[in-house]
Amino acid sequence: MMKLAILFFILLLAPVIRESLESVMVLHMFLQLPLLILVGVLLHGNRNWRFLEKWNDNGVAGMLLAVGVLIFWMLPRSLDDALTEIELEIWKFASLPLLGFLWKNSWRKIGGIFKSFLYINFLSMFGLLAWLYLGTPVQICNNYLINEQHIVGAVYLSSVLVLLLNLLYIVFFRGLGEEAE
Amino acid sequence: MVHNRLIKNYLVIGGIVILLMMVFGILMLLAQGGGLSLSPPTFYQFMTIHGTGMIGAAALAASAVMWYFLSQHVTLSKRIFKANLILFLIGLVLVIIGVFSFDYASAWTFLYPLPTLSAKAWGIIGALLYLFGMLIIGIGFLLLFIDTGRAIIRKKGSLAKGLGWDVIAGKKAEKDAPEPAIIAGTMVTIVNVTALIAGATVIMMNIIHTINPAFTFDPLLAKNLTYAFGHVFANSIIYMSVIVVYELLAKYTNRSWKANKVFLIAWSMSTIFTLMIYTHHMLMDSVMPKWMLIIGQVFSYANGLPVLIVTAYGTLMIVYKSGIKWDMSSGLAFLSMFGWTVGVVPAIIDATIVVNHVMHNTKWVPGHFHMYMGLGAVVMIFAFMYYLAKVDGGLKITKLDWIAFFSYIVTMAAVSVQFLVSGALSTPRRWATHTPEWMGPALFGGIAGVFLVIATTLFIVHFVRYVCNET
Repeated sequence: MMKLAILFFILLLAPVIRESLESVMVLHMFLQLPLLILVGVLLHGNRNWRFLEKWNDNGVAGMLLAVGVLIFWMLPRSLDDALTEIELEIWKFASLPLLGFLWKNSWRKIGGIFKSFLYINFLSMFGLLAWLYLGTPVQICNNYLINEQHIVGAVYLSSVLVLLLNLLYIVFFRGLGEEAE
Repeated sequence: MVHNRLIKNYLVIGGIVILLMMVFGILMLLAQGGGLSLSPPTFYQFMTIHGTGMIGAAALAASAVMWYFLSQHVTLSKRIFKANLILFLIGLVLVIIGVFSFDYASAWTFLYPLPTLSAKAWGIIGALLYLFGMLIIGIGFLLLFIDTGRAIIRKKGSLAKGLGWDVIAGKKAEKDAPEPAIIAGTMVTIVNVTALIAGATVIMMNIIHTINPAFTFDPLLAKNLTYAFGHVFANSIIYMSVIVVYELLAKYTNRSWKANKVFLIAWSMSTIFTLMIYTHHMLMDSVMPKWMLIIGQVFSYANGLPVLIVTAYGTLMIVYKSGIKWDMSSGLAFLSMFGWTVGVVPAIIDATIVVNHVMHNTKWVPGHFHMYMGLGAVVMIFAFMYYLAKVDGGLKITKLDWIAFFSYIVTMAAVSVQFLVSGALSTPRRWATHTPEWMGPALFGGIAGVFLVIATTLFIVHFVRYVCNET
């Protein structure tokens, strides 16, 4: 898993892949960013990371940190600046795998209510971002045109629909599964 | 018996906030009636705190009613219940500071783009304090309803089973139907989680717009989301509180209030309709899609009726020839059903599109929700307070309580009716200043409100006596 994560990371760092993913807003936001998070998840694997046991015993600290990083990268400004400022680009390649790592470490430890809260929060905030990108007449990013914003907005809206259908499936049909036991 | 200090804290805080908000209501009515001099900005600040505080406090107390009875059937988290109370208080403090220290006065509706574009009546800080306050209160309630939803799913398997859909489909016998507290808890969980998602989205949007007005949003979508949040959340108060009617009357009459198929279908219908009918707030928005306006009218007629009819009918049937001994709690529970029944009538009239175009911006609408909430939902909460004081504290009622009971009925009805009369006189609502022709009912309402506050104070004092005796 760790080798795969490193290989993945190197591929994402490769100039051709990096530049092509960053040249299109929707690929930057919905492909490069999630893939960098995936690197962290793969890096973590199923190992017990002892150095995390002490301060991330119940998963809350790790998850809060991960959510903090996520909020930062949900701001359009951050995405824009990563293209023009090398410090932010480095921070992106460092922070998002860290986010994935912490997320994987914390997810199983946090309580069900926290998980449900995060899920529902994603629903409302993705809805807000869909609205923002689709509706605002302002060009939000300097590096991407308004029509690219609209595509991102549409993807956010689609994500909301998928999340919503999944939520309805869970609460009306599937139940909480293993968690209930 | 499930009881603890937290339930009492919820009810004491809820009750006291309701009482304080009544005082603001009286001051507004007296000002409109010409009996008190109040500057328009102060009036709108009072209107903002009155609306926000009343719904918030009633929802808080109603959630305690629901928690108390639901926790007898499913395992709820006490920590989450506590967290909701703490977040409510933090949010309330932010709202109060925003309104009274920074002059924020948009009414509870915070209708986009008013929080930002106030013609300098208030600034950015006031708007942000109010909006973040509302957001924090919303987070607390969201955690609470996530907990109730998860607990119901753990116990029953799914929310569908919580609403008894398996019984409706004939897969289970009626005798195995969920308890009324679970059915109501499921309904409230579904509608309020939906409402809070809509609310979080529109509040965050307002926050973004307040911080950077260059980001503009579609005002019609903003209004839809605002009412999808506010109307549904306010509506849910009665569905949380009504659990006390089911539980209390069943105990008092020694008869069981079992859910049957009709009862289950009624609750399922109200679950769906409650989510759809906020559109009756949009009937004057000519740019709304026509089909949504038709939904607003048709389903507003249908919304309250299923649960109201089965509950009102059930109330009459369970009491009929039961030999029930009337006391304050059973009396209040019975009264609340009357208040709910008459309180929906003005709403149904207003939900008719042709009537709405004339009546919606008049005081007819406050007439509806004061009757519905004041004689319905809030009375259920008072019934629960007397119930707890009796069954848990053994506290005896006095003649003063009965005097308060009858005074409350008369004065709350007077306050509601003066709004309806004002509406019939075409008095606009949300206006600080009234012409002399509009002043009479407002002044009458303000004076009736003084006696209403005295009656409510006696209710709260009774409950506080119980809480103090216990500690």
